[in-house]
Amino acid sequence: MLLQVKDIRKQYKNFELNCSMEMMEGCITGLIGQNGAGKSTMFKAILNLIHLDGGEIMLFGKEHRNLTNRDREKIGVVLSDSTFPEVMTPREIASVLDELYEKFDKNDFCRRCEEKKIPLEKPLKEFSTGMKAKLKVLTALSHQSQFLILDEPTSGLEVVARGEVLDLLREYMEEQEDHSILISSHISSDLEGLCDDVYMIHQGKIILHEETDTILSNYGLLKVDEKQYQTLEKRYVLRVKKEPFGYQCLTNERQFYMENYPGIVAEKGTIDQVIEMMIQGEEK
Amino acid sequence: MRGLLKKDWYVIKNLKKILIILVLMIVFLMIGQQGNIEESVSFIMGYATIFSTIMVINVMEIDEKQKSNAFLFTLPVSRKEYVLEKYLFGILMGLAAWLISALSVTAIICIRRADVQWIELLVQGAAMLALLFLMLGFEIPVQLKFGGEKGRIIVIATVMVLCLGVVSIAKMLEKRGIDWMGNLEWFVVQSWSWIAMAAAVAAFFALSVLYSIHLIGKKEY
Repeated sequence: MLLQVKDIRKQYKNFELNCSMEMMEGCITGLIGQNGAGKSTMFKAILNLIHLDGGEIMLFGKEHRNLTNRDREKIGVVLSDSTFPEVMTPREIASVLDELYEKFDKNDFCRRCEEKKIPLEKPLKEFSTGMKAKLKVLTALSHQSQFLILDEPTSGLEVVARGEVLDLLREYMEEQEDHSILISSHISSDLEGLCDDVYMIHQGKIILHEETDTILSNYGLLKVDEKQYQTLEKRYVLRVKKEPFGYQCLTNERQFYMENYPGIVAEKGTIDQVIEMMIQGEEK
Repeated sequence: MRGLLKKDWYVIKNLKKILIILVLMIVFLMIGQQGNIEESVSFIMGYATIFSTIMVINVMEIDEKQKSNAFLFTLPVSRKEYVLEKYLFGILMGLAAWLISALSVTAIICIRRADVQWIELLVQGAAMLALLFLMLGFEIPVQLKFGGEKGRIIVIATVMVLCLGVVSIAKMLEKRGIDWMGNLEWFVVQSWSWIAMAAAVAAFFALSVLYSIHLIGKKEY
């Protein structure tokens, strides 16, 4: 087990984080949720940037508070709102990373920056959002880390830049079998094509954990009128939402309804639809 | 530690111009001074030393304001190392400022062939080094505790209050006819007084480091 988050609790004035999750080596796990759902708090908890009120986090088989600098060298991090000071240039950042990481390759980092059209001599404050995001990801990738923890790495990027960042992550996963990524985003399409499994977080709680393929193949939305709803088998209905035409139901057995209820509309589920129903729908 | 030192140097590198202005100001002050040269030396070296410690506070403020702290603590850098590095960076900056001001002062004295008491100048230089450690020992925990602009205001206000307090006490003693300067001179020439002062400064500095480590351990990012 690479990461184990066990019943962690963190209480704020108007928000409580209370969740668990697990991650295996060699996987890409997504954490998805609305703004303010608790994604960044979860990342900060894993990275020991906040103090927990309860629960425990194990990373590389150790309590997360007891990680050594050598252990930290195995982690590459992107935080949504934090990086090196804005007066620094990428070349200066490279020089600092060179001192901090044993496996940092300065020439390779500078070459990759140039490839991605990141100016090495410009201070970060003059960078566009896209350039900053790419630099953050390149920094996380620069020291042959085993585990990437990426909080909203594609936030604020247009579609082409997002694609470039996601390609960098795919390349990273292909380099070694034990490479792993924990990534958060509020853009579900980014995660659909990348993650092996996703955790959905809402108001500080995990409301769903499922393999991405399972969501895309087995989950679905049933659109039924009042009469159809009354006769519908509700064993596989996870959430129900009242609509003007009748009811919309989220199921994790779309095939079952397609075979047994040929008259009803059973649409394929997307992560967006699933999360929307999980949040807005009612339990049957 | 070297990585953090490099980072801090890059952050303040934009202040290099200010450093040059500082040196030029020292030179102009020395050239322009008419009165007691020992008094000018004390002012100039004190000014340079205090100025250098403010730079450390600037770096800490930038780390906090731009939320760089959170990211730094995801790198192979512990909170304890971060604090120790800030003290080390402060000492290095202070020593550099102290050395530049001392060399500038010596050069001007030599050029002007001024008649000075070198022992008195040495004593002043040593006092400025003590001031460096006292300033760092005070500023870093205050900045960690209060942070940002608030921390800086508290530091400046406290220094001003202390200066005013010392001046007021001196004036009050003078009014009562107490020869405080004479007593101070007597104290300074005692061999044990230097050991006692050095020990007091070292103890204050060590307590400051320990308190700062305690403070940063409790902080959340």
